[in-house]
Amino acid sequence: MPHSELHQKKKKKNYAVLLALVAFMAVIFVVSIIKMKIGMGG
Amino acid sequence: MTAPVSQDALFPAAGTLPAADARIGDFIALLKPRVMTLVVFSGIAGLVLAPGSIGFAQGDLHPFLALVAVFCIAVGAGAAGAINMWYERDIDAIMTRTRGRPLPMGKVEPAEALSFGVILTVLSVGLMGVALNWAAAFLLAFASFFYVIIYTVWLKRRTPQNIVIGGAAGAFPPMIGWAAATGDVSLLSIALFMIIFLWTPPHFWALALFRNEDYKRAGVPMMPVVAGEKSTRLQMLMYTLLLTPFVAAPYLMGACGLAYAAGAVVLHGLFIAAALRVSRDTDYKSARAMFGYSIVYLFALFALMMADMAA
Repeated sequence: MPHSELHQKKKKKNYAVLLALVAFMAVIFVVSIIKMKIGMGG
Repeated sequence: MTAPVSQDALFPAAGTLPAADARIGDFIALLKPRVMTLVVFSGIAGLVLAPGSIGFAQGDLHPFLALVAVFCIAVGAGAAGAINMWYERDIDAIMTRTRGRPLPMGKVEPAEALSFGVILTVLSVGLMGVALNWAAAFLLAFASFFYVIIYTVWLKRRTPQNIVIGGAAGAFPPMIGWAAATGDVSLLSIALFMIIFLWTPPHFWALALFRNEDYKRAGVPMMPVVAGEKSTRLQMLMYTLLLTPFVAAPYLMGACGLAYAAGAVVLHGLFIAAALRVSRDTDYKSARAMFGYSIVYLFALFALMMADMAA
């Protein structure tokens, strides 16, 4: 496989992992907000 | 009993093929999406049937947290499926039903599949603990452990009781859903567990009957391979009958009303009839029919419970 094509594929995979991590962080953030609200009796 | 199959002896090429062409779809396939639908549905049933309600009022389970619980159950089950596919890539390559999976096809590298499964397991269990509670997280972790270590690694290639004992792994989701909502385990959640636990042998053995040659070739000691078809057909009927009190339990325990009871009588009556047909037949037509109906049966039973609770 040509070097650049392999890099393209790796890049796509890295972006997918980045997207998954950002989504996970967003979920944790929203969960924390909701938990804090519940904790304050909201 | 059939001897356990060596991974390398059966499929030396497994995992050695270049796998740079892995696509997102291949990773999704590793999560066994079809199995996941039943897991998610029964997990939702556990959440819905648990005392308390889902809503925005004080004391309710916040809808976003309920969604996170379902997501964690789905991802946790899928991750265990990915690790299972990693371990079973040798026999998957032999069986007609599974040879199109990403690992035997060389679309995903074994190390990638394993790390994908392990990372998702850790994330789903961690998220369940942080977002819901650690009782639900523990049950999710234990279900994954049971499926991967007890069923896949220990039992599947060693005993025809593999799916009887291993079936417990698939029975955990309603209990996890229940624990996510309440933080504990109750008698009704144990009844829901028992329904799936006792449903699993007739469901899987129906499949094993008409896929007998496949399992034989792969050296997996499924009940029809080891004990023969006649004994398997009778055991399917036995487990179907054993299931009866647990199907009645939601009504007997007062959790569901007459609507559930009436529907359950019809659904379970048809399931017993299917098992009776399988026990008398010598061909595979009735086994195929029972396998198909068993999936509809479980979905319909849990749907009925949820509808009855909502009414």
